[in-house]
Amino acid sequence: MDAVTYPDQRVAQFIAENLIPVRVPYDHEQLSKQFNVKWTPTLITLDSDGQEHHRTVGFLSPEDFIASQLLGIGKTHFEKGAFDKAISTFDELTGAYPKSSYAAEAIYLLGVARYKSTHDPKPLRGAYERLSSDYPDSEWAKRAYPYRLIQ
Amino acid sequence: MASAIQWENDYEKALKRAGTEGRPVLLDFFNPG
Repeated sequence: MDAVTYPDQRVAQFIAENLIPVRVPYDHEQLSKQFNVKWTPTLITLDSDGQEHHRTVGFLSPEDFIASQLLGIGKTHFEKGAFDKAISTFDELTGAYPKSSYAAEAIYLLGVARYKSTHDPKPLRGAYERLSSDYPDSEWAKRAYPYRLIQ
Repeated sequence: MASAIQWENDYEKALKRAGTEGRPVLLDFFNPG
């Protein structure tokens, strides 16, 4: 990460605009135990209460890093019930990084967030249709499979 | 190549900033070598 991803200007700008970045050594006695960290790099997205919402382990390219962090930010909004902010963030991810390995999960959660926001189930079927068309081999297409029955 | 990222190194300070600035925390466990 220090050789490729963190020196990338796009990454530095994204972090500056969207996140509070903090680094701790993997053998930090208290935090490594608290978050059960076993390998590096481990990247965790937290809210201001210290609640975990997203985690990755291993190297990420600059593009995958930004896509992953957008997913983490969106999941933080989603899990705190801020569905409009979650929808906006997932939309940004799927629009800017459709080929990333995080796009399929974002489409799934986009459908759920729209349903939670409107109580209209059609976005769930929309998520299934988009996943089965564009990401048919993803686990998220399988998870959305029941939504094909929604009228 | 040096990174332009302004890392915090105090976890509690990062959480406090997250609350006041309305942004999530990115917590990076790294190997200092």
